[in-house]
Amino acid sequence: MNMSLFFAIFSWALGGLIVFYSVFFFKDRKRKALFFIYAVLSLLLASGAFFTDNIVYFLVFWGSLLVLLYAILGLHSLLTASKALIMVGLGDFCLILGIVFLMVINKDASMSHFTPVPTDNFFNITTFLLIATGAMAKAGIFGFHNWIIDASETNPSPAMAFLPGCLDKFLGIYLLIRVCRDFFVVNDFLGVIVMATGAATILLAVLLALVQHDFKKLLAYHAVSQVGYMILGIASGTLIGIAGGLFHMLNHTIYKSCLFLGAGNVKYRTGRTDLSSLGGLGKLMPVTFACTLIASFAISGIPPLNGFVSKWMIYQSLIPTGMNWVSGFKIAFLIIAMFGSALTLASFLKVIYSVFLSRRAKEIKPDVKEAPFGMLLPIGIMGALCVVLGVFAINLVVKPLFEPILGGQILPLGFWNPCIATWIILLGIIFGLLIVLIGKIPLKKTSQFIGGEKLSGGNRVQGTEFYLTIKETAQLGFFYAISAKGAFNFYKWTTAVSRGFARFFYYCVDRFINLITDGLGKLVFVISVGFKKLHTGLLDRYVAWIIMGLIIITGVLFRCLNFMQ
Amino acid sequence: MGFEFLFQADKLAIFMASVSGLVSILILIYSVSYMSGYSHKLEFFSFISLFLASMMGLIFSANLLLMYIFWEITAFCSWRLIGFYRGEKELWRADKAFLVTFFGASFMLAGLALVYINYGTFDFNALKGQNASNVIFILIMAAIFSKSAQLPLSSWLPDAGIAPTPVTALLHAAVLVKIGVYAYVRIFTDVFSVSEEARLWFMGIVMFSCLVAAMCAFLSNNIKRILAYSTVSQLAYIFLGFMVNTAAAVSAALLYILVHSVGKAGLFLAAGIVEQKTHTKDLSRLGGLIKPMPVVAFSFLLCAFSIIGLPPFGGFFSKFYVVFATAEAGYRFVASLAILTAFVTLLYLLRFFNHVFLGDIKTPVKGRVPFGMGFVVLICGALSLLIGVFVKYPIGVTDCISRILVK
Repeated sequence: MNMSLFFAIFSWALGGLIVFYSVFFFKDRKRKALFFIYAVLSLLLASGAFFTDNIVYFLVFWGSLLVLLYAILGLHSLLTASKALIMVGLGDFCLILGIVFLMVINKDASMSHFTPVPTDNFFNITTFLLIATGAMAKAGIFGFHNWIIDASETNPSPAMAFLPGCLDKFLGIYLLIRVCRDFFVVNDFLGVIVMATGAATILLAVLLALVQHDFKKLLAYHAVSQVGYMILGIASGTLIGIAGGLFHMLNHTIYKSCLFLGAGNVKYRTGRTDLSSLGGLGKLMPVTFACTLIASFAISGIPPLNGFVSKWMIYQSLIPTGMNWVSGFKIAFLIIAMFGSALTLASFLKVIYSVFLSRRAKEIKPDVKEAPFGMLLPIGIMGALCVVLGVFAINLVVKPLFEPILGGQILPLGFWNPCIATWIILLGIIFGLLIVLIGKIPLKKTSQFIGGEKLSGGNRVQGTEFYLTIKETAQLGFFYAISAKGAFNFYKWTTAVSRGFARFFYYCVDRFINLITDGLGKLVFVISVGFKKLHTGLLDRYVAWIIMGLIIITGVLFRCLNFMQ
Repeated sequence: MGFEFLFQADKLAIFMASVSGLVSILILIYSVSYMSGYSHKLEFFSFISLFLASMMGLIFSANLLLMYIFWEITAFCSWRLIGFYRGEKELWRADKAFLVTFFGASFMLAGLALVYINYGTFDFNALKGQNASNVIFILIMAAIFSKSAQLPLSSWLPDAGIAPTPVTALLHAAVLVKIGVYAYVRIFTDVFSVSEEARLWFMGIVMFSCLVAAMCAFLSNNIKRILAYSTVSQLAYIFLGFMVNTAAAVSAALLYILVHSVGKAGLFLAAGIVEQKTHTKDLSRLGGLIKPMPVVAFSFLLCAFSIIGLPPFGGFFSKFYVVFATAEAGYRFVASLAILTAFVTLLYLLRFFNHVFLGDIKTPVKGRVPFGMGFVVLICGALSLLIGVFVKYPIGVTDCISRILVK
């Protein structure tokens, strides 16, 4: 088992599940064939990128995927697609430059001939940063994330699960691991920079996710936030960190696809994704509810699910072994990562409550049915995977997969035995159910407890409102205020900065030169005014000129003849 | 002596002639239906034919003087072609184009005189391998820059967008501006050798005009001006490749000539359809044209991706190899600027596409797109993609040429 094979197998497996789901989701849509063509083509190109040894071919596969990203997003909104093209394109051009430099350093295009380059001079450091930026931009870190959020509004769930949720993460993380392990010897300073990017991504994206009102948009912010964990693990430079990052990527694609597809099910049956107008779907769509619940717990890192294991491995990689200046940063990142995890749980409680548990909204008809079997099967499989990969993580994934891939023993320290814990949890649930069923204890209904507030009449309590108070807290209020003004809209920043430079060059260089050129051109015309007057187009004038010329020439000739004599 | 009326056909000349011939044929097919409404279209066709003939003469000429004569004939033709519409503004712009290119060409004439004084011949074969002094280089470069519209002699090209579209496509994209590039590779890569210092200075000018023109394209609101600035910016990559002067760079630059001719011709012809069907060139008054002309929009996108340099389109390979060869020769900062400009290219071409083809329809479209015009644009788009997918074959050709040119 090598890394390329691992990436290829899982991208096909998960991509295949999503495509299978989309067959049912897009059943009634027009132009659906294009989506499938693009999807399969993307998977093929991604496999090409994973398997190729020539870095130019890699770049071709990688860049072609950008064009396909534009095409897939463009099926629903070309404007969002162009935003994605610009943001990811910025990363891709960084990557192209980085790879050009890397080829210059190694004097070769074959990746297997590359030896890890030390990051000790300016040129090598620039090269590393360029390639890392390209990789992280593809994975969708904070800063290159705006298009993901926009796409979640304009594009259907399967497309979201497929691209930013699944394929882009695979590619970005694949390249990041290669960069950090095979291409460069990352020094402490660069490691901290990359880890800081990861930590910032976790925190900022999850804070923004907390206040979203739209199911898909909230998921999109989490898709950004989770990348931070992977980057944190990989950039820590330890074997367990890289394994954790890899595992987290796999887990992320599983539970995030599950969540996106769950949102797709909700949208398919109710036609809405707005959290405040959903509610009470838990009874109407029990399978979707169960899978979404599992995936939500997995993304929040609750044991014994898979998200917990990978996060645990990442945390462990951040626990410093010695004391130097890096360890302080590592501890700070560890705290941020844990805090981010708690906030993730908080925001998913809101989703679970608003969509599935709260009282049914007026807009939802009571006869909403569960999604068709073809759409339940993929999320069922993904939900089951969340449990299986969590419970049997060590024996099923870490030992047989990651140890050969990364070539070393990975020992998660102080790891508890999840099998026993799972049995206990399961037994607890079964006993509880038995007691309820056998004892015929009537289920008691109590009134809702909303922070001690008394509610008037039959008002429905919306999950979204409850979270609005976060916005108003003094410390975070500022953050949300500047975010609302577009401080984190890096797409806008990029275009605005480019426009500023463009103005400068246009007026100071181009218009200036044009002015001079025009002036000189006009000068030619001014000079030629006198000559123009000689050309009137009248025959008698021309005859006069000819005779005058003849006289002059004859005179000159006579003078010459006189000289010769 | 080098005054003979002598032609030669080597691999470089044949490559150049086939590229410009291919694109010219496409543009001529397009112009048959584009020009059908004008009463004095005979003038157009006769001057286009003269122009193409002199272009071929220039490509195959075997001495400097013959090259100069054809050079001026093309300038004369382009003067009449730009001033095809007889308005006050059109005539002034045509005069401007002629004056600027002639301004450059007069320097070239002085340069030719110096060549004759130093070496006693104009014949390419006799001159081969000589060192050109920096003065000769600068004098001839003035002409080349004026023809290929590099700063500071570039301002005529965006203004020349006033001409009928087939003319702008022919002049800006495919043929006229490539004359300067061809003259460069013929005179300074094939025949003379130039000091590295002089090349470095001009590399700086070229990269500066690359970036400035791309920025201007990002700011401009006239669809033809955007594309004209884009031409200035893209030609700089070709010059960059030749100025780096390694075998890989020259090969990449030759590939760039092919890719850019096809892609930019497609963009101009698509813009021409937009202009003819809506009678406006203003970006802010256009929109939503993807509905009435989907094929044009699609082809435009293909050509644009190629010009931006996204894989697997042809533009990616040419741009990537130019940048790689530049970095490999040690000019890393220049390579970074080239990539930065590529990103700006992405910005302005997408801005063009989004404004013209997406959103709400602001100016209604009159009539359907004639088959001949839409078809040609589609061919340009398809070729842009095919060159990239089967890049092995054109690269084989350009490698073969560059191995002869650069020892």
